[in-house]
Amino acid sequence: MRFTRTLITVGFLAFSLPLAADQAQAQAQDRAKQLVESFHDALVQVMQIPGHGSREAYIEPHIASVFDTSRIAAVSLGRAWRTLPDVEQMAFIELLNELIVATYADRFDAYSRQQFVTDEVKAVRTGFVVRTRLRRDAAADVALDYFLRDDKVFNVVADGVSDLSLRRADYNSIIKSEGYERLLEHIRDKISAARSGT
Amino acid sequence: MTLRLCLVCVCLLCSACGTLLGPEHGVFDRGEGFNRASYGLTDRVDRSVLLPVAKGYDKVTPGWLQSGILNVFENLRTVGSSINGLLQAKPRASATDLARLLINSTIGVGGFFDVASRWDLRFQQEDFGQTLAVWGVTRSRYVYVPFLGPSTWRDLPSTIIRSTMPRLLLGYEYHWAMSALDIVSAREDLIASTRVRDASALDPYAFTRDAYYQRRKFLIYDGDPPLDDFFDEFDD
Repeated sequence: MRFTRTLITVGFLAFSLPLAADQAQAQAQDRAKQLVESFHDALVQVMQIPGHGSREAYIEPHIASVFDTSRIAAVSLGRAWRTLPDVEQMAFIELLNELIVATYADRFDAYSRQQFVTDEVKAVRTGFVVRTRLRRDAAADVALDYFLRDDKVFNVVADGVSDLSLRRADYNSIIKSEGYERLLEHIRDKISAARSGT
Repeated sequence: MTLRLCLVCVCLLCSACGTLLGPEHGVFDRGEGFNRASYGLTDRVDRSVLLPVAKGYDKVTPGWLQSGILNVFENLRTVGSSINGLLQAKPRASATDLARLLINSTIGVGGFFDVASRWDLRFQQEDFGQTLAVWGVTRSRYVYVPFLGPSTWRDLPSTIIRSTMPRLLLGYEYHWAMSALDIVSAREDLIASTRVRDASALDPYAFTRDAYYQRRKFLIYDGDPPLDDFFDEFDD
């Protein structure tokens, strides 16, 4: 009798555990899709807001909830990240966040019936990829892939070109040739340029 | 004819000598000093001559005419794409390009109207650099060709052939003014991309080089590179 009960319990666990894992995976995929789609809705809204300052104010909370800025900062700086004290790491994360917000507010400044379409959500070894397309009038679609880990986006790949990879190459080149302090100055200049529309 | 043959031989030799080094589909820039100088020169000429001309062209040419002119030159380049589709054992891609060429050259009035895209026959964008990559040449050294732009030794033949394809096809009947129009319209088409580069890049040279490698990988995998690579790349 006891053996039968044990057998039933083991059988139940053998079937239910993979089911639970599948369910958790499906829920995580749904969350990833919803996160990206809510960000796209925000981008469509921001394109219709006049004034850079107003656009920044609108998009900032969305950027904070969607992007994993600390992971982006760490990857962007590569080895230099590990040599920075905690205070400077935090300051860099804030500066990077400012840059991302200013860049989105600058790029998404005009609405001409652009549409975002979600194609699929793919589970990969250590996260998810939400594959989407930006549809524009009289221009080819742009493939936009959002890479997520721990429910946050850390990389956006547009037509095969990775934002994080470019950022890392760009920042490391400046650190190597001009030093970390100059990198910060360059980033501040880019933020000012985005805000002034130059 | 001899000149064309020599050009092809030089291109093949270049690509044979300059490959098989560096990481797979990754950045390998051993000649950075030369490449940076070449980039700097090209950028100066671009900003002082080509970009103002392209902006002027953009101002005086209506959008429909700009698209039509771009279509004409892309149509001529479809020949190379179709051949390379075949060399990569992609008969479907090759046939799509061939169908595009036939439809756009006839119904599309010499390629001016891209009728084929409306029938969902998209330009396949194959070239000899991608063919070499499919054949196994996945590593190659970066070279910034003065006035032609970013390339690798593997992609150099296709970079040169691409820029001279209309002349190779039409021979001496191809007037130099057409080459000038090809260059100016292509530059005008790139204005938005270079604006993004200028707004984002702190080191435009490194930015362009890395974007080039990534874009090439994207094309080699026909727009579907392995997604895990984008995760693995950042696992330190």
